[in-house]
Amino acid sequence: MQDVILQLGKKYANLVVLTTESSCEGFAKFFPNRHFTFGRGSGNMVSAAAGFALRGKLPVIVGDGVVSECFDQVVNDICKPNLNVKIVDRRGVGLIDDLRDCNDLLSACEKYGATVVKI
Amino acid sequence: MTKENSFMFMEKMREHKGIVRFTDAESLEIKAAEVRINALKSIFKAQKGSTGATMSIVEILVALYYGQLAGGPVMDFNPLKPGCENQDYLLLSKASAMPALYSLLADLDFFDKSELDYLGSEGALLAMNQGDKVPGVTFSNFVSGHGLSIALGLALSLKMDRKDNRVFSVLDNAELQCGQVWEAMMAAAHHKLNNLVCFVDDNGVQGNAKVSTVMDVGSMQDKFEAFGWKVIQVTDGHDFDKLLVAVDRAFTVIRRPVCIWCRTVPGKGVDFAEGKSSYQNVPLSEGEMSVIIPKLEQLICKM
Repeated sequence: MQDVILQLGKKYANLVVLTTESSCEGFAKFFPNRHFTFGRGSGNMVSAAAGFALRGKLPVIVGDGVVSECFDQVVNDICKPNLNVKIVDRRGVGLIDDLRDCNDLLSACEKYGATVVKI
Repeated sequence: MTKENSFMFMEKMREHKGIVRFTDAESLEIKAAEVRINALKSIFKAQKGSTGATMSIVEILVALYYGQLAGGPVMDFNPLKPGCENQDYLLLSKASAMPALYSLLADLDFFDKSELDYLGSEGALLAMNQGDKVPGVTFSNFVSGHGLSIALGLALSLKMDRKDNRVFSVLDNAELQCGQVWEAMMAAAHHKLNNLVCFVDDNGVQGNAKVSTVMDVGSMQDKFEAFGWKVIQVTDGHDFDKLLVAVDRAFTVIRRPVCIWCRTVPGKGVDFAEGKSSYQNVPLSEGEMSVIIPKLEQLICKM
């Protein structure tokens, strides 16, 4: 996944990566000024991504359980204004273990206009 | 574009070439009174809205849009090209005060003044608490507490591109109870964003009660400073001279984000509603409107 983001970063000059902790080391080494860490404050990170997208950047959020933790921010700041933000959620559901709950959350995001790709 | 149309366009361009800005408090006060009248009228027509919250913020917005400092205008913008490259950004996180921003933008010809009559009605351009696709509004659709984070994202992206545009954010004092504002405060200080200026409209009222009785946040200025912000106190947020001096000081700060703490009065300008929390979230009645509008108009004539 890290290699893919690095390759995309080389292709798109406006791509920026926002992470909770330093988890995208390859990208951070190659593009230190396009990589931002926000610590555990993931709600702040998702809203900040909306700010990046307002200026035509292409923010990619990489984190664990971002969608479930910051559902409010994802819906109100990104989905409703229809901003170009990509979220790579590695655990998908955060603390929710039940697969059915995960699907409910993601389909709720889809209702607000998000495109969900499950791998 | 026909010849006639292009002529009209050129005329308009010429008109807008110099947006009139003021350095003296008196002219700014006239503008503030005009904005007040338009905002009160639009809230009255919509029959919903927050009179107290809208009135307390008017001077801050007028100082931003119309203020002129020795070095240049307070905020750079172009009504003919909303969203252009060299503009400064304003994020009004205090969504209940949207009517004040709308009437100011209509005054600056971002859109036609007649739109103010249809505030909040179905299918209208101007919605009550959100302004998606309204020219001149950077971002709206705010949930309480998200504004500073979005301003942080904008400021970071400007720093990344090495641009010197500024981002202004106006917060409600009740919003400081949100955890996300604290996260944004921490991140802004960490990234040393001196292009981020945050106004706090401290009118002391939240909903229909005092902030100190609902949930007292204590001395928030000290907390801003503890996170690494520069705090500039404005003892009277309705005094243009003090506001402009504070903004001038804010522009000289290096490597730190700036918070301009403005003490304001809820319902300022509407003399019977000043300082009363009962007027915070209601429109004025017809009788009250017939008293206050001539008073404000007289104020403009006197000056």
